Amino acid sequence: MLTDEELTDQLRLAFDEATRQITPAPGLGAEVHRRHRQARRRAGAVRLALPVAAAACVGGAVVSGGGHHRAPEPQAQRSTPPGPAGSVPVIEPVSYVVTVPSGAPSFPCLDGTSKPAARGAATWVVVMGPNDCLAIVVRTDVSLPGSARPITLAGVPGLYGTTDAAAGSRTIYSRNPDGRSWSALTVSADTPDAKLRSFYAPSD
Amino acid sequence: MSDSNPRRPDGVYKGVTLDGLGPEFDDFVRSASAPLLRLAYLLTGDHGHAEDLVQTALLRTARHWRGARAQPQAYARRVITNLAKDRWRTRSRRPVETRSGPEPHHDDDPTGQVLLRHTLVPAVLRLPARQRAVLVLRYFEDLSVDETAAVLDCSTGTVKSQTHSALARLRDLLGDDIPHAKEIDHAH
Repeated sequence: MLTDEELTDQLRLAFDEATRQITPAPGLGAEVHRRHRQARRRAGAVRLALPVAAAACVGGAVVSGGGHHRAPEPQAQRSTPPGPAGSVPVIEPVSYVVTVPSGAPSFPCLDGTSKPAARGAATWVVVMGPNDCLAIVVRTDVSLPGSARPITLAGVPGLYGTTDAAAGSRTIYSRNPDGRSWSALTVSADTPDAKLRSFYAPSD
Repeated sequence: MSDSNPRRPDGVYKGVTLDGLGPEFDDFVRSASAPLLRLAYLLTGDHGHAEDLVQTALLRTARHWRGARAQPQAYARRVITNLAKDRWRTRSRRPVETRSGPEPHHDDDPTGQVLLRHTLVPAVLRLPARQRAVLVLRYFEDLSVDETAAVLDCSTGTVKSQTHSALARLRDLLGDDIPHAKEIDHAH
């Protein structure tokens, strides 16, 4: 009987012989590029890699459905009146996934889909659809300002909001799972509620 | 784009591809495709599936290029190994695909070495996925025990025990096809 060493020597030879004639199809690189571009353009899934803190248990700001990490529905539906820490519903930290409609044409703002607007800044350009981009700023571990007022996005309780007329922006606050800190999502003041809601609730 | 910078067929403009991948990625694809395809073939036993795995692995490497660029081949190798394992799970109750090839010439093979080598790869394809992967990574890719453990995301002890089990199982599968060591010595 062959020793292990002899058997493995034969294995090496057998592997080499079996694969000697195997070569990749020409154009493999071009095909990979094509599929990669296609995936970026239409695939649909732009995951906003929120700051690490948000993905860990600290942050809980941006919630959306449509991804692998869909927020549990019952938790999102739990309604609690605003009050001291712990009494406001907590939205599980989930990555935000934006779905770009299939066949969406390429346009300039698409380039920024998965990139922060500036390195280190939590500003993201999100593609909502063809020729429809939305810049958002995500901050975690912030305090709820005194000027914040409860807001209601259909089916998403426990949110607060402020408006900065001078800056033309609107900020939505949601409580983090730690029960003390908040996460903030800042968008242009004229962003429709329906779009905002898509950040917090599973897509329909 | 200006006329002075025409688009090449692969979509590259002055070293920057439209999809954000630079020439470094193209170099990687050129140099690594063949070894990755051979690895995938030994793990799946099917050329078509091997090509699918390699393409998927390259795509994933492209998607994570920023993190993978330091060791892209190791990254792609790991993807291929995992994909092959997944595929094995879904197909574990189906017959093993083996490529039909010319029968070895026994007359020119008095010691049975050629026969052995022709029967070894099909026998490896009948091993459980983890054992197969261990043998291919160690004796085709020439990875160390540590490197194999890293690819398979397991301990070095597991790699050693899986190697031992795989070789034992191979002997069982091959049965009488394994010549005696003395015969091989005489042939050298």
